[in-house]
Amino acid sequence: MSLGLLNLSFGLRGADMALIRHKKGQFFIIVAILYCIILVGVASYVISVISSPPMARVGGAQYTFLDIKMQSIRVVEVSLANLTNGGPSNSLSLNLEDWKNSTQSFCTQQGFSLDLEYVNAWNATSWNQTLSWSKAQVNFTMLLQSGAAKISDEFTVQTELYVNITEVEAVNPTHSSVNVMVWREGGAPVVQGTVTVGAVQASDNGDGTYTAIIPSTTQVSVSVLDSRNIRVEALWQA
Amino acid sequence: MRLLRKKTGQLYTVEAIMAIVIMVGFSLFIAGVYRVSSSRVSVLAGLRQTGEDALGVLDQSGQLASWVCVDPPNVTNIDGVLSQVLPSRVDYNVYVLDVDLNQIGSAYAVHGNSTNLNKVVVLYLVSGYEGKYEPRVVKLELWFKGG
Repeated sequence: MSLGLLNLSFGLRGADMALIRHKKGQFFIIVAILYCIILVGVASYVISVISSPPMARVGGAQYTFLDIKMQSIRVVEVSLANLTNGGPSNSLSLNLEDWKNSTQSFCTQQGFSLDLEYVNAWNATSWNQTLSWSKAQVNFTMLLQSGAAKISDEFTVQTELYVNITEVEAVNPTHSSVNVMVWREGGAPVVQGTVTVGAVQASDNGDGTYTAIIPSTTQVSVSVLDSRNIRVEALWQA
Repeated sequence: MRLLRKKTGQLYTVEAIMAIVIMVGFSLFIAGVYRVSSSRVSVLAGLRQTGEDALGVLDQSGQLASWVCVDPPNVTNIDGVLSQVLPSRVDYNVYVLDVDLNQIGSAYAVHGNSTNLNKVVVLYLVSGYEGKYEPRVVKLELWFKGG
């Protein structure tokens, strides 16, 4: 084709062209065409890698990793909430095992490889004391691979809820004031919890303490439910 | 013969110039295509980030899990919040799936054609709510209106 173009452009006679064709091929033109073919191949590959499919673009793996890490913490919270609201004692281990399998399946379907392991998983309660608590703890290791990229982390999830009946004081001959302090892991005060003293809903002082006025008695029972639905029950005796 | 040799020399020069023109022209063309494609990817990455942020904020507030990890999932509430949180120039479909990415009943809200080639997909895993362990996946498809 390029030969014909040259022929038309410069009006060479057929005999001249035949000689040229015989002596030298269109070396430069062939090299240029090869260059273009290689360029198209490389460019097509690069463009296809960066533009499709949108689900697998860079950033997805990091986002998925953080999502699974955050939700692993919630699995521990949910399991402790389940236990303290009458669920089976092995709910934590059952949920963790299912979570491990579910997350691996979820990642596989997105083209990632996830290795989620957990050790030292336990939960326990110490109730009906002046200072009572519910606790759970799990050590996680996570390794997520996406192509050549690896994201890994080791972390410990501690979920705790404490309640302390700090004061029971008579306010008049028939009623007493009960002060309760509620906090969670790391000593963070629990606000907007549901604290019931006997049959009375305690008022939230906004700093992790709650107050209720109840008919005077020699035994005060306190039930606390935080925003995660984790329960603790405490007992004060005169 | 001298004339033919002279003409042959000129042809080599013309051929070399044409080759250079082809190579440079094609390089510029490919560079243009690449630039357009990169720009499109950047726009889609921004759109994806918008979707990720929307679901992340919803989950941090505790609302997402309370709507997703119940039977049946409350997609109406998710849809209502997303319509307020996402930019007005963005259209979306939202689905609630199990962890194997199978759709749960009629737990979806569709606003447009999900076969849109310029859509991005965000998958957000939710493990449970309050005392209920119920892993679910929220799938959010996003695209620009008219795009």
